[in-house]
Amino acid sequence: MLQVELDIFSGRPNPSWILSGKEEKELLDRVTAEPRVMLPTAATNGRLGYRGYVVSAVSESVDKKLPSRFRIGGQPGSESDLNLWLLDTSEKLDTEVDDYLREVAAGMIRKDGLATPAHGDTLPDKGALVGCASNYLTSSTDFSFWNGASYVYYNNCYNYASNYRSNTFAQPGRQGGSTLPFPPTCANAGAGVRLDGWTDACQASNNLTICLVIWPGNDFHFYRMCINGRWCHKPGSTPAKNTDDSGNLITNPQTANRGPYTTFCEYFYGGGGSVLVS
Amino acid sequence: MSKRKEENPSPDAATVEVDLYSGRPNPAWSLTPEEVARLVERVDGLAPADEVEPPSRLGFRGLRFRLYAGGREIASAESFDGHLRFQDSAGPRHLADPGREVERWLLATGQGKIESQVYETLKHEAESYWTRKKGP
Repeated sequence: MLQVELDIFSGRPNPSWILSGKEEKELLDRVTAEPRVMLPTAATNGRLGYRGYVVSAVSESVDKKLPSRFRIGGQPGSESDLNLWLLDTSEKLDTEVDDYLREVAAGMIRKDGLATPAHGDTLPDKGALVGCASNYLTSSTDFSFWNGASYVYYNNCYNYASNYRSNTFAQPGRQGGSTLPFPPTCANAGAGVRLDGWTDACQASNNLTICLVIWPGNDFHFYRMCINGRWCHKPGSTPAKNTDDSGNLITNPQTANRGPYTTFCEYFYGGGGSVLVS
Repeated sequence: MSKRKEENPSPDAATVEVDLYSGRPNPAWSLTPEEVARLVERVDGLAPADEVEPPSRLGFRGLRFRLYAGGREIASAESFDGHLRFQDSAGPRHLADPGREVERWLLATGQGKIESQVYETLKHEAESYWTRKKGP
């Protein structure tokens, strides 16, 4: 079951509605055919008025290959047809979307359709993943070192990424003597990571390969390359694992379902099989 | 103090933590003595349930609380998806929290105790998740 939220208000809660079975199928067909229309939920330009829709899966039956939550529209250059069709689905008895609101939204949708996109269709280059000559790859299935009762609560994503169990819920830059500012960003968390000894290029031997992602305005997370072409991670104090938020094995952290950690920053490399973090 | 009371002391303090982040420490706060008493009443009123593993997704996962007596931790619990996984000196037990009543109440106790921006974020994330999980 899919819920659609019309992101339009500034003070009041946004209105939302549930798609019928037929509407859900049509939306899924459309976004599957054109996946680039699915944006991270944080991809809003923050303007007043219509800012697109946030589509959320509210039951387990929705196709698990899709993100459980994503944004559509609200950007200059957004395709009008899909956005106007989605607006039409709000014509239900139990929504707060009246004709006036629909008219306002439709006007902005048509204007977006005529505008030049603010950014290109392709994601900006985040620094290509480099294949190192000498790698330290741990198991993609055995996480017993991380998930025992004495350790799982005290070690976070950065501990796991660094392959270093400090039991301090490690923070980027702390070992190097600095405090991560709030909110974490690619720039300030990346600076902390580098201060701890990670680099942008492969090191001499036994490289750990990790990537940094950001939940905009809130938090950071890391993934680490493990054996057999998989990526693994440890969401906070929960167990380390090899699946994303859709339950799929992770083969590419850039396209995995990362929940609210929608900003992909870059890759980092650490030598010696473990990086001291605190 | 009797031996029985020593074995089962009444909690006089509690902390609540929202299991939300992956990198940063989770938001956490302490309960007032009145809230501690209310929490104990609520938990005592819950029925047993089948064992369920807590979620490990990114983003909002639920809430945890710890009960203390005389400065010593005597119990802990995870509240998620309509379940409570409770652990004290008697061992672990799984309890049903229909309608997420305990989870919602725990979250509400955070208002005014942590930065308002952080509280609004975790409230939004929790409510969005609860709405998505409501189902048909």
